[in-house]
Amino acid sequence: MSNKTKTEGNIITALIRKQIFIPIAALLILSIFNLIVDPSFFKITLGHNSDGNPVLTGNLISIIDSGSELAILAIGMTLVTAASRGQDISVGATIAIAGSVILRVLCGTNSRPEELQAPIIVAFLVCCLVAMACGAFNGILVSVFKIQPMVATLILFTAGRSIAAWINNNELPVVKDKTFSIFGNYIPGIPIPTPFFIALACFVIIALVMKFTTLKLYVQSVGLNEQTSRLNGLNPAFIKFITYVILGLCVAVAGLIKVSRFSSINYSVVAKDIEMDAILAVAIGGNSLGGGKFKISASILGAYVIQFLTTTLYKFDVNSEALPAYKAVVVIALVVLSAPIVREKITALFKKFKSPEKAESKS
Amino acid sequence: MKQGIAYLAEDRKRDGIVGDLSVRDNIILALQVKKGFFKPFSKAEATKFADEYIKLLDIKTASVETPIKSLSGGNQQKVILGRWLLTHPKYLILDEPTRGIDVGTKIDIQKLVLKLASEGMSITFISSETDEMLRTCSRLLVMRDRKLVGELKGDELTQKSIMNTIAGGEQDEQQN
Repeated sequence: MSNKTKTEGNIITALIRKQIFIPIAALLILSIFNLIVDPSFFKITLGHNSDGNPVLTGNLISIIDSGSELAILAIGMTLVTAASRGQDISVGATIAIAGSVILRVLCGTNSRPEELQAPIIVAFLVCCLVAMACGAFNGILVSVFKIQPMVATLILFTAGRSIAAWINNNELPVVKDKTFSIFGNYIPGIPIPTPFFIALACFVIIALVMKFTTLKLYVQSVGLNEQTSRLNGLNPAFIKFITYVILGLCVAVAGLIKVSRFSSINYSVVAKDIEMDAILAVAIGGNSLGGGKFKISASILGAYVIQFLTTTLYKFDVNSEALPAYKAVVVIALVVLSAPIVREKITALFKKFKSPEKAESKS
Repeated sequence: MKQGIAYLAEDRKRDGIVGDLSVRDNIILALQVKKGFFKPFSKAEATKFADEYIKLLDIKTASVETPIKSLSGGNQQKVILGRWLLTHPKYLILDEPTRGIDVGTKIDIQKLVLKLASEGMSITFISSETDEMLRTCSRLLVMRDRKLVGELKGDELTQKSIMNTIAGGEQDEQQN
């Protein structure tokens, strides 16, 4: 590459312009902050859980563990945002539906069965179908009826949790089978939490899809200029629809992890406010919420930034009631810093710093 | 498009460019759609196509990565033209391709149209400038208010006869 010939200043400015710079910078700032205030934040210890399996514990582990659902959702949310120029605010409620469906299939009519009524894979597939149907419902409202995405998804946002409760007759089923809890906890013998592996698998799958299909180009052109895309032979409505279905699939996976964590579900609390965090992840990733160009890797990093932030705040014994307020302060700082107008200013500042140095070195 | 028809639309901003995408992506867009969802061009292939048409049409751009919206109007139009030429159409419809672009590019495009026509491509050239039509057309249809009012061929193609056809006819309206 020609990077070597570039001066250091150019590399820095180029780096700042790069989209992925924002989440990486945010992660760095948070890490440095933790390192200064309390280096033990990064300590990872090997212990044993109640089942006698070796498990790693530590703040970093808990970040990659509990950030998984958000990261998976960020994938779908990025696509939806890019294609339909709006966000899906029903993901939290749809997770409740998805989780409820899994438990319903696993437990049957009895809410506390001794044995599983159906194989887990069957339950998961049914849950995928239901979640994709929810996505398709949103997708049709947005693409065919041309309703604003937030308004269209408001329907499921409002109704989702009561539908979830209705699926199980308002009972709270509990799965006693140990194998089911693998997805949200640990695989026996492996000390790293399973959700991380599931998230990793999702990243690999979406990376492959991006590589072997033209999804990225299509979604970007539909998000940027629908009219042109149509004249070029694309079907904008269908592409928007597809992004919602993909988000539905992401929701199904996130739902599986969520219910597996506790082997049960609480309809009104499960995945609460996760839709806002998912949208935030997309924004922190530097993607325009107005659609168009996108970078999924940046959104995924954005998701982990949010989780990092939450874990840091917990670490400092911030009351869970007050947590959102603290979070908001940091988020405002991040979003303002990443605004194009501020970044341009920073770039200009860097150039100013660099040019007198260059002049000195020449003379 | 599948029948080999390409349509270069009149409103470049609305119907032509995909503003934030790179010149490369803009050039390959139509061909990529034609090729299919599961057969994406590799970056190298796409760059090869883009470079080929940037050279052929003499598009002035910093690189293939440059977002198309930062190009001048004329160069944007050339990119869109390149996009359609890449699909190797049998029949090309150009709707006001020279509107709102600089004189040099205008002549470039007119020359290109003549060259393509001589190579056997059928081209419909829609324009509201008579001298441009004289330079490019072999057969000219004058239309007013969605109605065909005259057809001129070969030797009849002169500035005067065109003006007469436009101004004349049963109605005394001026074409704008």
